[in-house]
Amino acid sequence: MDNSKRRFLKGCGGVIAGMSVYTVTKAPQANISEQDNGLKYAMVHDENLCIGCNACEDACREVNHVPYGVTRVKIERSGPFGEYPDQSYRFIRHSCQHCEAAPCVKVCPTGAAYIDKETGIVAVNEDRCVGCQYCIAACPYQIRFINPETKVADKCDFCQQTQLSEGLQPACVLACPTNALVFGNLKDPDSALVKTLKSKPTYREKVDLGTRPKLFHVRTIDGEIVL
Amino acid sequence: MSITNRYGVVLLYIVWFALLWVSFPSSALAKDAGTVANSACLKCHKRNGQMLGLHANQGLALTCEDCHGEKGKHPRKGASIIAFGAKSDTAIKTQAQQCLACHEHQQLATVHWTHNVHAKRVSCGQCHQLHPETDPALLLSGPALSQSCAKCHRAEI
Repeated sequence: MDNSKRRFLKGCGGVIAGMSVYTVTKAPQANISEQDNGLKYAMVHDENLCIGCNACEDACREVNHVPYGVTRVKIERSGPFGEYPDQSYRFIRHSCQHCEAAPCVKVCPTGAAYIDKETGIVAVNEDRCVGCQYCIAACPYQIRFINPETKVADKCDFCQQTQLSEGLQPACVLACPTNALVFGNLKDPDSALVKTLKSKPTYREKVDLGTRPKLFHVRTIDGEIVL
Repeated sequence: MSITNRYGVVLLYIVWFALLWVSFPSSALAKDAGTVANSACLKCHKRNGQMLGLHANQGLALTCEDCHGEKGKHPRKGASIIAFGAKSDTAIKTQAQQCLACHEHQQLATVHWTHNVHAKRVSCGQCHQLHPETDPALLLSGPALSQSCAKCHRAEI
């Protein structure tokens, strides 16, 4: 009797230990297999090439049916710098940074905000969104907004639904007259994006927050040096 | 009492109509020689010389020479006449100076920021037109304005 009880308990302990080890090791393995399709989209905005014409915003509005009053992408203009007639302006793109560790995804209670594991795009599942605006409060880049027509949290998704699905580049990239925007696959060493990132010095906004954003900027050359 | 009698009323009418007549600038100033409408330039420039826009305002009393400079030898070679627009041979700085004589650059900057960045590189006439009734550049907004930038700013693909 005693012997069989001890063996039973030993067996139970062994099963529990084995299961816990199995679940711990399973999770990272699953992630690796899911992300191994060689796709991770990112974007570079060259502030030296940008002329502040707003063509990107217009194209985005048209393609993604963004109502007036809100926008997924905004070119923020600062200036003028210098004395007339030698004056210049600086342009910074404000749009979703597609963070690897996206705060908006972490706070979303319904799972409407998610990171598409195949492409690395931070997207919104409109059917799941309840409009609680936690994501708007959480986003350190303040680029999320409630779409006044759909009443759903909206933001840039690299035109995943409208352009990428048809094999096209995002609308803003196609609209840019000076090719200041470069979009591509971070994992493809031959892509224009990776070549740009390797040839030009870039910066990303608020990296100290640990968000690991995927929107890169090439700083204006005449820009002031920030310490 | 005197103003209410018959002669006083007639006098008031005369003064009233006289003021009315003076207040119409077309009748009072149209005979001014040298306005664009009856300039000698129009003898040749019938089509492209017509001024319909704001600058044709009688109150401004602008002449062709005010903007385009002295006639000089024009239309023969060696004339120093100032032509405007993208196809003009006149230096950009000279073209801009003609406009900046009246239009202050600070004020232009408040109307649209692009005036500042184009101050040295683009002449006013490359975007603006004064002769037509309305300046097409003033009607641009939204996507049309963005596309007008792309006419010059276009990277070779």
